[in-house]
Amino acid sequence: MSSSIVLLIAVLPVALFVLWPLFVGEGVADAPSPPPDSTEALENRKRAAYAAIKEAEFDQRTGKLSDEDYDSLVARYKNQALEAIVALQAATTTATGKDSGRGTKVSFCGECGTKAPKHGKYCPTCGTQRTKA
Amino acid sequence: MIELGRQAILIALLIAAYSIVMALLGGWTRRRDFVASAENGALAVWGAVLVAATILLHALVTRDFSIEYVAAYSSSTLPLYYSIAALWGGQKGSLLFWALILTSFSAVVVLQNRHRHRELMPYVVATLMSIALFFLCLLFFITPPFETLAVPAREGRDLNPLLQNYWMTIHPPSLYLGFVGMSVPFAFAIAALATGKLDTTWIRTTRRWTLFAWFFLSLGNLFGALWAYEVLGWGGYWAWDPVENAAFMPWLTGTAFLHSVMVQEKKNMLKVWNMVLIIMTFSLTIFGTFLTRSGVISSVHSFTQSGLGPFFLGFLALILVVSISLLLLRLPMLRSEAELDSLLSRESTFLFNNLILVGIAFAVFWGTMFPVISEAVRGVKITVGPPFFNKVNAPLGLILLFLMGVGPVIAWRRASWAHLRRTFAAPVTTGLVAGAACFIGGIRNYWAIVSFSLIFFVLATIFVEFYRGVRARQAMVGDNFLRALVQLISRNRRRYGGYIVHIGIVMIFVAITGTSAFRIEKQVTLNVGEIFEIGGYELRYDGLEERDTLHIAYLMARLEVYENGNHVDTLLPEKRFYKKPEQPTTEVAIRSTLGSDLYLVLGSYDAETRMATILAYLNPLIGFLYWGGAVLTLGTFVVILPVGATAPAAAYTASPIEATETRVSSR
Repeated sequence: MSSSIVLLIAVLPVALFVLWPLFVGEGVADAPSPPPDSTEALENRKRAAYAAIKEAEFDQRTGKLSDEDYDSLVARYKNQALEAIVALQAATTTATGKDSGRGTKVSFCGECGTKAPKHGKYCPTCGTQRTKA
Repeated sequence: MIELGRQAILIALLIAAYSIVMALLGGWTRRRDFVASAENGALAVWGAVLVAATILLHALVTRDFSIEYVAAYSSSTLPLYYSIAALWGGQKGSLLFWALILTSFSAVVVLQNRHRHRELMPYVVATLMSIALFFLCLLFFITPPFETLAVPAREGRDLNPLLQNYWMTIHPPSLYLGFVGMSVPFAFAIAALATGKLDTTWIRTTRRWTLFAWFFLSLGNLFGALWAYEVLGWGGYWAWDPVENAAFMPWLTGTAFLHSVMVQEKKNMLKVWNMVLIIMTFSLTIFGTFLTRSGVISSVHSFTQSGLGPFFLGFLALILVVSISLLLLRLPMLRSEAELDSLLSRESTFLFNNLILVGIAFAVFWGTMFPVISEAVRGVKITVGPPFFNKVNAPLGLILLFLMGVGPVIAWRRASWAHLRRTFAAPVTTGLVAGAACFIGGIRNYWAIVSFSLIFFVLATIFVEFYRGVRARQAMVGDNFLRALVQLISRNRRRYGGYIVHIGIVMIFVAITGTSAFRIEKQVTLNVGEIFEIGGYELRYDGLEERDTLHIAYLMARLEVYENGNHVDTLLPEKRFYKKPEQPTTEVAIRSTLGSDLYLVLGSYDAETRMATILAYLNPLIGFLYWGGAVLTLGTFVVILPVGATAPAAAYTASPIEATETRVSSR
């Protein structure tokens, strides 16, 4: 008898805890999922390219990559990063319905990839000093 | 109390089932409240299992012999720490312990990801709760730990004497943490497959979990080996016993997984392979549990008396069907976005390393299952012994060792011949010199010579890696050597921690080579006062001694150990007679030095004449097994511990990229 009372006392709060979100009903239907991660995938691709460039630099410094290989690899990864950045920008433009980049000079930070105004010495997002490529 | 324990398991079971349904519904309909309720359910399941485990632990510690499990696995004279360890000493308790670890991990995953990976979480929760549900069903319907005896026993039958060893308190928990830990990356992999979010998110999210599980699996295997070494009394530590193999196979595939995920993260390759590896690793943990609990294969340390086999087999089949179906469904999305640049690259080295690791896992699987397969095919149970495993795995192991040396030296993507020659020159020379030194030193075991050459080769590559890294940092930042070394490691803990782990593994290879190539064995029957020699030691037998306690009666042979005429040690190998299960055991005596272990076992004896037979072993280099484990631990900590972020060094930063005149059209 006593054990069933203990059980009841224990079960009630547990049930309440588990069912609580249903009563609160925060945003019953979840907002449709953001587009299937195209921007996230692009971001990842961009970041992977940066990481590859950094790694190539370190490999070159530690003598594991010849200068020639280094140049060709870095050129390739810079290209990949650029492609990702451009695609990202296209995605953002499509999303906002604006075409801000037409015919203008656009600059991206090499560290974090943020699009930034052409003027200014430092990236407004990550603070890396910007030099001309 | 006992009733409460039983009810707690039932409640956990019901909530786990509820969580699975709600999580899947929530994932399907994108109802946030459903998923939140399922997540709260996972937390509640953990709470309920914790209650059940605490009640059983309490019963063990207070020696409540009215519970069948307590009466079967403890006694009134069993020391407290073994009473606690009895929680995982028997079938039922160990399943409850398993459920406790699994639900604890699930709770941590839920709390970690309250605001992250919202798309994956419904399926992660559903997967983890499905695994939990399986164990809870076993605990409620098949092997209830809270069964009571009609008449409470006056005394317990005691824990199996072989388990009354300090390793018992740490080996099973390590192994379970490793086995169960693999559920988390598996759950994320399933979620990635279910949602189609197949980028590296699931891998990056579970990287620490995978490392954590791998680390405990490594320790579990190592502790198991040391336990066998110190308890079983045959002078060795690994006999390719099915239960050892059961823990070794997921370690092999898990190690392959740890390496190949790096290739996916860096190069977006091997996506299908990584999925296959994690499915294989998780399945092997369940398969290993099946092996130890089904009694299908006889082993020195399994839970033989159970009919759990079919349930585990059914569960394993379900896991494979679901995972492989999902994998096939997503196969088109898992195509690689890159290809191998060159065969001479770290990617391809990793691929070879993967093939070898999986090859060893397959060989071990084949050897372990051969008795079952042969019985099914030819009607005769043929057991393959250690010679089969050694013959197949020794060359594979040496190739693995070689690749461990090549991997760190070779660059990602592409390595040129000229650079290979330059970077390999020193390590290869070191390896060759080591091999020559072994030969000149009189070693004629060619396996050992090759192994030592490779060991020195690998160590040299790791040394070169550290040295070059430090020099590069010094050149960039101008730090002194030590500071540059610390900075080097802390800025890329994953890479350099990994090298430290490699050093640990190399040390384990040293131990394996030493003990398998140079072990000395001797069996002597001695009268009191007689002397015998083994590997530079002289041992004098000084007779038998007895000691009696409430729990155990001891009989010890006293041996005085001399080296170069000097007395260096006294060793007391013993026979123990446990009083509760009335079972004798043999306790070895070991003198450990850096170079070797002197290992003594008391065989037979004559109580009247005091004559005794002693088995003596000299195990060279076995200490490296312990130290290798310690270094492996250190390396894993370097990789895993979240001390500071791995900030990129300013000097490595790529120059900003500028896109000029980019015409972006809004197509």
